[in-house]
Amino acid sequence: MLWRYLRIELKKALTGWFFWGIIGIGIVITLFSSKEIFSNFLNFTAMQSGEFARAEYIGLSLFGTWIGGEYHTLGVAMYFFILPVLAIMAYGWSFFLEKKGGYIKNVITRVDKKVYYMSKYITTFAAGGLAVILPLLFNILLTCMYSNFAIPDITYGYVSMFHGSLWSELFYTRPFFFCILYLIIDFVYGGLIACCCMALAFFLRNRLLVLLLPFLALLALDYLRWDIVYLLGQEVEISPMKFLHPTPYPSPVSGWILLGSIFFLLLATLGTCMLRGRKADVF
Amino acid sequence: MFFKLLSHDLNNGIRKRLAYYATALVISLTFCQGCYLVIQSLNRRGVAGLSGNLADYLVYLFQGMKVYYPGPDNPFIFPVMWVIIFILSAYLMLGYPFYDITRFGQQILVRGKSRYYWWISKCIWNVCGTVLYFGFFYLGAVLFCFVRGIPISFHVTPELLKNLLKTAAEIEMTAGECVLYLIVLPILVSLAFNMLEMLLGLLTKPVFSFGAVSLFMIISAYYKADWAIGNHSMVLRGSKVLGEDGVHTGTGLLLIGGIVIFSVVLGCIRFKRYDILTRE
Repeated sequence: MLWRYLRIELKKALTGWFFWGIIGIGIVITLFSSKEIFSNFLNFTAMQSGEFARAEYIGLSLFGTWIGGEYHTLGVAMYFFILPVLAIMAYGWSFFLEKKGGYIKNVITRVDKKVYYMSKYITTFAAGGLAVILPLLFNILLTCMYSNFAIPDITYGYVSMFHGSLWSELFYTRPFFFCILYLIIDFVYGGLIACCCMALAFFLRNRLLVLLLPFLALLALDYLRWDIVYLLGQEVEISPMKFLHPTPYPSPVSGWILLGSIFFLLLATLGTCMLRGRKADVF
Repeated sequence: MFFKLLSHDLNNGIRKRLAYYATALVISLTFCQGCYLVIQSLNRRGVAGLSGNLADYLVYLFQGMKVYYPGPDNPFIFPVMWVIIFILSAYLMLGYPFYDITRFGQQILVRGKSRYYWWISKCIWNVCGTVLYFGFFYLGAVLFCFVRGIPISFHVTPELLKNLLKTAAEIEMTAGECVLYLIVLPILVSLAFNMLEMLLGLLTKPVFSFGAVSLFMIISAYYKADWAIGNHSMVLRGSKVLGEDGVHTGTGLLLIGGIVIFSVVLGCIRFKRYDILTRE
């Protein structure tokens, strides 16, 4: 039964124009990064002629020029700022609208409550995650068209990956693997941010508050990050708006902080949706 | 009839939502406390040895960010304090018009006999809401200074600001300039953002318009340009810090006025044919 209803939900979420519109917006934002990097590429190749041709080919490596490897273009500034809103807008609104509009009543009378909430949770998670990583994947493919696959080298200074930051050794040895792992992190985080809306929909009646509270909370966390870092006693990045970017700045990323926050969000959102959902009266 | 509409909007959109606007007071107190801690830290290190006054705190709150020069060795880090101040204002101004149009506002619209009145009333509500939001924000700063015993005056302390904003410039402002740069311009910039957001909400969906205005704020932080109107509310991008290179306030005021008028006029035209029944 779960699989049957999950298929219906996934079809509803991933085949609508709205979802693909969000992906389109994400892609357009990443194009701002590609445009600037490509003009850098043209300048770079124009400068490297004669005996210096391709001397610094490493500066055009995919791993330092895709949106997750660079951190100075308008595209990267906009994408990682608006990332939570993209995740939320993909399908985070669905449960709230179904609850408010009464659609949920028609479903609950036909399928088990647990099936409904679990399907909705999985779909919201998947749509949120995909809305975040599909533009990033598109950017990787686009960057492949004009960059090379040189392994990053810290001595050249074209990349920034701190010693002690999460998977820094992987970045300098197996960068492809690093990118895939970071895309998985972004997928999971995007999904969890979207699921926050679903969990909030149990408590709040204001649609805009449900949709935008996670984004505003992330901004507040970003502001308070130095105070929290001071309390922790070590300089690590605790703001998702910063650490969802694969190349960490201004502070290194800690695996424990990342894992802990994922675990907390998963527990809070899934716990709320399943426990509260089971008890909540939809009629 | 227009005044009935306006009174309805001011009653439902402001009086009954005062608690939402009061969040500005909370964030103002939080940011002022942050500024206070920075000043204390500077004093402990013997850098400044000054306590500052209300104007110094406001300069700190509206500092924005230094001019950004993109490059591989210079990561872009958005000015979170500045963004929160303006994004919260945009958020508070987002919901009410679209909430109203789907509920009681539909009845009013029919009885009001003019769609223009409805839109103009919402525009005036937007102006009042923005001013009220910043009213709470400044009230928070004044309260903070009062409680901490900090002088409530509009005389900046250049030596303190130099260290507080980490700039080499000597920032000197008269009381009139303080009012212009620290009160009038932030309110006007926020008003332009909010009006644009309300207009875009008519053309798309409210959340999209919020996203678009948020991105406009990031663009303002990224580029130092007169057209990126957010720059006019950042002290670090103004002529007081950058001199001749700073953004031009006159151009900024013209652009802000243009955006507001454009939003009002285009909103009138769009709202005339706006299908209120298909909207949620």
